[in-house]
Amino acid sequence: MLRPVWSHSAFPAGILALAALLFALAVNPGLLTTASMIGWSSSQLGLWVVVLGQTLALMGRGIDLSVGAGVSFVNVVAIALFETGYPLSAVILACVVLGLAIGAANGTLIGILRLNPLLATFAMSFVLLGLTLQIRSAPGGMAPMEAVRFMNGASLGIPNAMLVFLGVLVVWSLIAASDFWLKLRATGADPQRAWNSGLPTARLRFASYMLGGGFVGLSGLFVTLCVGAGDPLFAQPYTLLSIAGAVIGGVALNGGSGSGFGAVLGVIFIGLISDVALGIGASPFWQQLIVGCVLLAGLAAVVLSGGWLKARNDRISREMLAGGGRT
Amino acid sequence: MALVLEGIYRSFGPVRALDGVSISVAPGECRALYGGNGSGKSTMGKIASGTLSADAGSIRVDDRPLAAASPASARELGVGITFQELSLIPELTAGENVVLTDLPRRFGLLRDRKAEAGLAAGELRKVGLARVADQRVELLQTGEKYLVELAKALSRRPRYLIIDELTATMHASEVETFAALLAEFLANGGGAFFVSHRLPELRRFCDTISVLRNGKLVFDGRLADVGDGELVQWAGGGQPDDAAAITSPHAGKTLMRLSGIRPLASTPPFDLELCAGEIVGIGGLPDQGQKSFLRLIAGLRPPRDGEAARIGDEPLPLGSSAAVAAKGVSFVSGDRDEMVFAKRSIRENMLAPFVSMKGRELPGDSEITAALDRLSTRHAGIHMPIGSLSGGNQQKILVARCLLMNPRLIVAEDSTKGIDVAARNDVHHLLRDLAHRQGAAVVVTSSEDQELAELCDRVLVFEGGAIIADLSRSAGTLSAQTIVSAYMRQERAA
Repeated sequence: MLRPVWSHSAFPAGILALAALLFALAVNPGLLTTASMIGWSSSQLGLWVVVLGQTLALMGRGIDLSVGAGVSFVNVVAIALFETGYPLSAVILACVVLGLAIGAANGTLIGILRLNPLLATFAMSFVLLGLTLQIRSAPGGMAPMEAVRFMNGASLGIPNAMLVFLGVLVVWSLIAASDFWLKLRATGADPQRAWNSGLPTARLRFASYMLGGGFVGLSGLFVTLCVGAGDPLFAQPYTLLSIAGAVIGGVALNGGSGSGFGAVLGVIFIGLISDVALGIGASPFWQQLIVGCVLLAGLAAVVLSGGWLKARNDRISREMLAGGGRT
Repeated sequence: MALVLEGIYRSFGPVRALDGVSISVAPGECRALYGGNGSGKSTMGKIASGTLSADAGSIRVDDRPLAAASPASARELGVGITFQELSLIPELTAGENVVLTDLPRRFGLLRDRKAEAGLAAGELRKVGLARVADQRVELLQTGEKYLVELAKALSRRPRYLIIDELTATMHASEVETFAALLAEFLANGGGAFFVSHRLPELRRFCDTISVLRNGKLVFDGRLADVGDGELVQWAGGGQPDDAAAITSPHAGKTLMRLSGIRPLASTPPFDLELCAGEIVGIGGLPDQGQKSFLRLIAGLRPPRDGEAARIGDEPLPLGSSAAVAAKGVSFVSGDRDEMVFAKRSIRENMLAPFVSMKGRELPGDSEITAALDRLSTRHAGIHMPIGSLSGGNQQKILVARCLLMNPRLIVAEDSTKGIDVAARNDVHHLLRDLAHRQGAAVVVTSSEDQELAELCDRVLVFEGGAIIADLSRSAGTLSAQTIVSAYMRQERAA
């Protein structure tokens, strides 16, 4: 059965992102030039990737408050490895493995030991921050120049950061098409019933955090290569931005519904309004206020329209069911 | 070859739910697991299916032990269960739910949606619901959900099936579907535990019976050897309810005037008067607007254009449950998820409705205890969380709190759903007291026509949101048979 596009959980976020894009273009008509797209995508890539990790945690009725600290940790470790002389390929592998390891630690605490996800990942964020500051207490260091130049370059007019992100989205669509994803949705929607149905809920939640950690690792790698340096605090805002983006993108805070693509649209919306606030030349003191207000409005729009769209969609489905029943 | 549970012990906090119970079921056998509320029968079913762990005792499936209490390993051994509270995920489609634990895969990782759809359609077709495969479960009607639950349990081809109150909210035609599937399951060498309170269904489906009372096995044998009277007494004492009930001395004074009522958006509006001291039942096929009607007068759904109500001399502020409750309307639902604050104490649950009644004095503990005593409810003290009680006892407490509120109108939606005969009689007596002694009006729905005929002074049969029959005890037109024939005639005509 083909569902109408407006019934998709990502639809409101898509509208918001489109509106923000049009507004951003009105403010800054040069936005779609390659140069400006490169600047925009390489500064946003880390957030786009990490929101997918957050989505995995949220889908299983969890949350991950350690993603920002995790990305920074991977970032400083990668720079430290580069400085010790490891080649790019080894560092890429190390970043992914490190991310998976962080995710596995969170997954053990939450999935296996059943700690509260909010508190466990909050505590984990300080563990990671502490480790990060041990390795590098101030911004500095250097990633290989050719890799940085690649991430800040373009092929055929398309920024390489965007192409890399397309690759990440392909990986994501494999996850979204897996049986794991359906089972995780079931677990997030109702853990007790999922367990009663015979699903291995502990393992599923563990896997959701571990896989989410993989995206944290990738995000840390991309931040390293886009920025070209190590910064212990650079990714701190990612934690709450990724949660806000995912929710705007239609991912339920109490698990079980939403999509990774919606979450990405959500963070794109947030990124665009920050750009607009900058572009209209408001003073830095006003920028935060403007971004905050637009975020609130966006969130309200998503929640209100989401309820309305769901009710409408349910009614149509019910009528179809009743019609089918009579014939 | 059998599913054998031996020497099962299980406690919940201070309450011993099962006290060394041994039961078994052989292939081809359908054994009734029977007992009153809190007798431990549902607990027994959950332990057999690995959903709950036993404190002591062993579970053997065809001589293989169920080592760990997990539904997954019980399924591996060939034990399936249909849960009274359902194991379906509301947000997923019926098809996804049915195949959730056995998803066909491509490349060992990805969902094979085509194979999945075929598998789901095949399983759902058996319960006659292939057409809902792509619908989210939350959109289905209650009876349909239970049939999907059955399809899900059968999809793994279990050798033993635990059926926990599956038929409680099913309509007659859905019970027939179930009956055919059960017969086929048994003929193919399956064995089943059938947990139910409904004596006619036990008699129909089961040959053998194990009776639990207060966590102990009190009878184990052929069902044909025991009479209904014995069964009811085992379920908690008391006699089967007397159908020729007291009629009301209060009847006749109009309490509530409803006008322009449209339970379903598509039906023409009707007017209705409810009298004080009268128990009115709303019957008919499932989902003909009964629920919508009840929810309207309880203030739980917004009124449609033109719908209005007056209680006594005042207008009833429809659309606001708190304002309606403040006018003396109490609502009780058989859906405990919706009614009970599971983690709060019995006392707090009983006092909860008073929150919306400003200026009313809260009843003291002695009044609360007195109200509970009238229902012979087993509890370990009114300060225990209500969630520690069995479903039936929780339900009785919800009804008992109406006593404290002294309401003018009681709206009871399937208020005896899934509770045993003795508890049901308690609830009936209480509703009659409220109507006939205190002069309240009572509006009830039930999935059982027999119950409506026993309990009510008057039954309105709904069809497509309209009243198609008005049967009353005083006119001698009220019986289970007349209710059934009222809606069956409509069904045939349609």
